[in-house]
Amino acid sequence: MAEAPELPERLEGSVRVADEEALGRLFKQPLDFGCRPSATPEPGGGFVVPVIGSPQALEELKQQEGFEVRVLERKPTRSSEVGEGDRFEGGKVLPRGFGRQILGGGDSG
Amino acid sequence: MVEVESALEALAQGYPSLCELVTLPEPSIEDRTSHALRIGTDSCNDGVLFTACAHAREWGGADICVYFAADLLAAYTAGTGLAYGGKSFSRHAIRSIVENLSVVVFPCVNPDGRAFDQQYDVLWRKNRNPAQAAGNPQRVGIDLNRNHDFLWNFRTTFDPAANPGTLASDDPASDIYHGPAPESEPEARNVKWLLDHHRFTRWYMDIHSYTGDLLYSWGDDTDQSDDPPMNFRNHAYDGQRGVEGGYAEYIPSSDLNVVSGTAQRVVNSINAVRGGHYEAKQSVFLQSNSTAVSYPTSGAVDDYSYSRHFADCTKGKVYAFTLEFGYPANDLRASFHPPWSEMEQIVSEIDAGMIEFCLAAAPAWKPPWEAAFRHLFPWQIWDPMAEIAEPVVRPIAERVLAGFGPR
Repeated sequence: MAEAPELPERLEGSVRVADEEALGRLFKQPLDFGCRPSATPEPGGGFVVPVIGSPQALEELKQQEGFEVRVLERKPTRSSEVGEGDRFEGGKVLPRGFGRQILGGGDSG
Repeated sequence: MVEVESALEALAQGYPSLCELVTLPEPSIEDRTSHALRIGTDSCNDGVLFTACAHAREWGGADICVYFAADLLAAYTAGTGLAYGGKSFSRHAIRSIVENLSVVVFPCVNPDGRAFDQQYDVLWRKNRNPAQAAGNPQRVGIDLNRNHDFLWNFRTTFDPAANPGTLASDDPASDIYHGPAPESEPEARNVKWLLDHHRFTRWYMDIHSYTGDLLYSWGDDTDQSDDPPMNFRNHAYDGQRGVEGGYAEYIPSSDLNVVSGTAQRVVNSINAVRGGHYEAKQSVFLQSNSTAVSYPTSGAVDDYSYSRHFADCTKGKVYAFTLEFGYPANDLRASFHPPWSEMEQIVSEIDAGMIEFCLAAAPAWKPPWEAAFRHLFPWQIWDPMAEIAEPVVRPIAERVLAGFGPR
């Protein structure tokens, strides 16, 4: 895989917060929370939020009260399941979906 | 990227009487031409639009769209219904979609970003427009889901205290940079073109990942149905949107019932596939059971699409939704790119949801004259006609609507 051209260093991690007030404060930070932030409730209370940020932004977050920051150690790697080539051979092979064709009546319609 | 185009071409060639390849008018910044697939026996039927991959790293949206189209066309041709895990649809349901709707599937809105992310694996979100970057690769790209003409100028339309982390940004280095102007980006204009030129589009779902949500209008602020003048067009409320209390966005109660009911219906179908836990939510809120944490947005395509008929009475009403497929994993990378065994399950869930969405969109009854009227005035001549008629029609329509809708 080629190296990305001069992109800023970004670390992946997660942030644990105790309550919704802290969650609201977290979402105002200059971090990448995904398409929309995802806050997974923890069994003992609080939420965990996956984030991406610059080392500086994550370090600054650690210094703020109410944010428990965990940075992933591993380097990003592309999924080994990303294929090469063209399964549909330029339009010669018809895609097949995952639905099962059925003869009887369905739940809907 | 090549596979998405090949798949659409194969479907268009394999089912020539049921679908057609639609070439989007604007090539991307890196000169890639995009295609969509229109499915249905009559292009003048009410339309449903699906788009995906506006955010480059959300790869699975294209697979979801391609396999949905493949299933729908194969089942209709075979005269069968379809089943996904614990959810099934009769052959009558499949037939009603193909014969009573015009379904447009646009699997990859952002081909440059997608190609870049697949090549370099950097979880890239935006498009690849370098125009505002001044030679700095860190400042390349615009967030296509902040680039649409809905409260785009967040500096004036929203409260300065509204969440800067979600709303939009005028810093090109930001992942939510909204661009130099509304619809400045060819990829965003391609989606607008689909809405403009498939004039009978009434339903729209923009597919993203991940949080396991189906989101309905609005995304800028809390919904309200009691105060029509309090709405996005009213400049008296500029500077007040996007914060708790005060401003709330007007949505007619009938529309709110439609969008919230449809979202729940689709979510029920998704969850029936394998016992999932997708939720229907108003777009501005992160949690379905709490309004404590909000996520206001500016320039998002779902709000833009639904807002069009308020802003311009010559445009048809489009009920617009955003679907966030997949569930959060331990980290963002695994959430965006689940293993293929999991992705297969997600495709089945969302394809079932898309079929349910089409069934919700299919008109229960069509006036017998409607088809003839729409064929007499196809969109190719409707646009120029609308421009001529608009100065006459608009004042009349606005007078009729006075008191019933937002001003």
